[in-house]
Amino acid sequence: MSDGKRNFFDLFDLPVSVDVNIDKLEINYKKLQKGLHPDNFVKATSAEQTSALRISSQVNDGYKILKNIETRIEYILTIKGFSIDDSVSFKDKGFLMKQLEISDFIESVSPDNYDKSQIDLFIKEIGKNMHDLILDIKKLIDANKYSDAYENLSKLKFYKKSIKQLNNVI
Amino acid sequence: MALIKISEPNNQSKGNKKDFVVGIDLGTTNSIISKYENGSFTVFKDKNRELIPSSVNFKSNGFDVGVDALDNPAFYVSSIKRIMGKNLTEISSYQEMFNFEFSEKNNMPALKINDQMYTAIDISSFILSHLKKIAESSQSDNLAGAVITVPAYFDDVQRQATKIAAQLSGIEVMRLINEPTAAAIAYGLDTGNNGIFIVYDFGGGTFDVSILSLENGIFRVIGTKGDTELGGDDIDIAIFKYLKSKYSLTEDIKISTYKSLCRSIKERVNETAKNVCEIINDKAIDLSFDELENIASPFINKTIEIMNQAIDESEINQNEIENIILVGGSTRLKLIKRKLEENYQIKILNNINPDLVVSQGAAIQASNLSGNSKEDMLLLDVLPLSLGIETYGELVEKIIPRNTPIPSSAKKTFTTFKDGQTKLLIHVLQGERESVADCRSLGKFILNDLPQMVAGAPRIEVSFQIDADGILIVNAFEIHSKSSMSLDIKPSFGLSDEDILSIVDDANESANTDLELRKLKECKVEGERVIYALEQALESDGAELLKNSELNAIKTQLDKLKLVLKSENAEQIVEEIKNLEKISEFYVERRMNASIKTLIEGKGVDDIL
Repeated sequence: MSDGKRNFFDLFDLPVSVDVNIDKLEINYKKLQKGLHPDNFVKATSAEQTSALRISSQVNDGYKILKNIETRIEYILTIKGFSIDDSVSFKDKGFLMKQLEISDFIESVSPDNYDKSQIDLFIKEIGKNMHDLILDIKKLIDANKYSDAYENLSKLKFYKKSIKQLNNVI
Repeated sequence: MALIKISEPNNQSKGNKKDFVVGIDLGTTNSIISKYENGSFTVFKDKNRELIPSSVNFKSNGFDVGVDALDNPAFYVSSIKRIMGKNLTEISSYQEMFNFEFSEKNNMPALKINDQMYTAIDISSFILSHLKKIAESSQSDNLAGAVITVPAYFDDVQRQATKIAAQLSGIEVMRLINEPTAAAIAYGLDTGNNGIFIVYDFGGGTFDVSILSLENGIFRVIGTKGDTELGGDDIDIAIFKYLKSKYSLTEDIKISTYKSLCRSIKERVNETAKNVCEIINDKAIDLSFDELENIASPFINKTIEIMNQAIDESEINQNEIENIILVGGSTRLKLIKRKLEENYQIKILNNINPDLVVSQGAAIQASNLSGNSKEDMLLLDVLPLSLGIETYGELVEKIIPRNTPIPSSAKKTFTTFKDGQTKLLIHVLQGERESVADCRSLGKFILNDLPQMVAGAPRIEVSFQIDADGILIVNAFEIHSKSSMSLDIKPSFGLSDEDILSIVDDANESANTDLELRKLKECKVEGERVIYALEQALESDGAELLKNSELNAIKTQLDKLKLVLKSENAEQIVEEIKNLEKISEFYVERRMNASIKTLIEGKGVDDIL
């Protein structure tokens, strides 16, 4: 954020954490927009209109970032001063094998003829992996191991994308 | 809640006249202007008609607008909204719908009428002036502002064009809102229900679908999708083509002359479910209900397809949707309701007149924005089309994706690739496709006066801000030198800011106003507004939020402005207003921050500093 003092968590009165109280986020989002949306400043001076436009945008942008777990984790890493570099490759070479395995599986599924119990099992396993990853990320962030947390985040994104791909097929 | 509420400064009211605000549905076929006051609507009528034709009839000695324009279909212009904000290539296929040749004026397509050029903006401004006149004469009050509706799927250029047309007609635009959203407001207020709604808006020239959630007075748009080139008009044209071929009518008869007849045939066949006979070019023709449904079917199927996509993209389940709201005159087609019922098991609402509902919603929002309304409501809308910039290989990189809640902002850092480079060009586009050629070019921004450095050294931060009307504002500054940079905007189509100003000035000049005097008057009003607002603010929280020295600095500048307001020097007044705004900038920020705390925690300002 531009003023550098207040981050999105502060803005919504939430603690900086991977776990976010989504209900509170929703409620505070609405409270803030109710007071700060430019609609409230139609008759105000241009200086205030500009200010309201900027802050109301921040509220929208912050809400979007905090609502989604992946963007939320990425944002926490930025707050902690970690600079994101997508060109760095995985340290965990074993994960590469896993990626290939999953991609092969999704490719093997044909939309007209698939084994539902097999798919359910696959989705359940990925779900568990994602759950474990999030727990890991939390620990890593607490231990200030940001680049490891970021690697896990990339894995999380991959899993999420895989499920979406699978859903598109079936 | 406004941080600084401004009641009208005393000297602004003109005579005994009151100010009132309206909602305007500027439609392809008809326009509606209405107001909402004390819980009830008034629709302003033109010769007893609520639906005012969006038509202008050019005569040798001027022109008629609205109901009077319909006298001679061979000479009037209608459906101008279809070419609003478009370029000549995009509209070439529409030529047959118009009685006049397409040409060009100010880089924009124009109609050549009696040796004069009229753009879509010009003609829309004539329609808006007419609406304004009707409302003011029936109220005998001043129209102080309007909320104008646009199709949800209008891009930035089309929104800008609508705003300029209003400016030209002397209407102050309080807000542009999307047509389906406006309809949802009217229904939301009517039913008082909470939940998720889907608005199916099929008008004369556009189709829009929006998905909204309504919760305790907050209308939040979840997603929107549409086609700005699909409307009831297209069915009329299809009917014309069908009859022309079925009855081997002569080639030279023009759709522009018979479009309104075809529309009337469509309406009557639909209404009565019986055959309708008419005479076209001395030949008796006849259209049956089945024929009508066959002609309309492909268009309706297309709308259902778009609706399915919108539901998919919004990631909600069909069973979460409470109602489908029908909006737009074209939804009177019986086929539409039937097809919707076949495809979805959702209750359809159409109890508010589909022609008037959009204008009513706009009127509610106008009343709400003017601070006169008791309705406690807020509208949170989204960006309809992704915003992006051109990158290598003529590809578009998205910077704000579609369906992002607005207002919204994004920042992007650029640098130079040549030593000593002083200019940088940014090409801004809107659309979902990947290549530049498939997106709508909004404009090219040239950053001037880059500090001369080695290639790659400057860090130029460009911020893209989408305001609450869905319109883009671009700002740029260089991080090292902290200098903001001037931007030259070269709209790919249409007008630059200066062009707009000069047109607005020309328009006003032709109304014989003394420009200098008007400018001075405007400066003074603005000056008094700023003083009033600031003094109100200082009174309420100046002591808590400001140190003595800060307070004194602001007060000194306030006095300076007050002094110069007594003079007749417009330039100096403008200068002192700027100075005052600059010196109180941090105070405005502090108040905003204070209000963030108050909004969330209910704490007072004492707790913050």
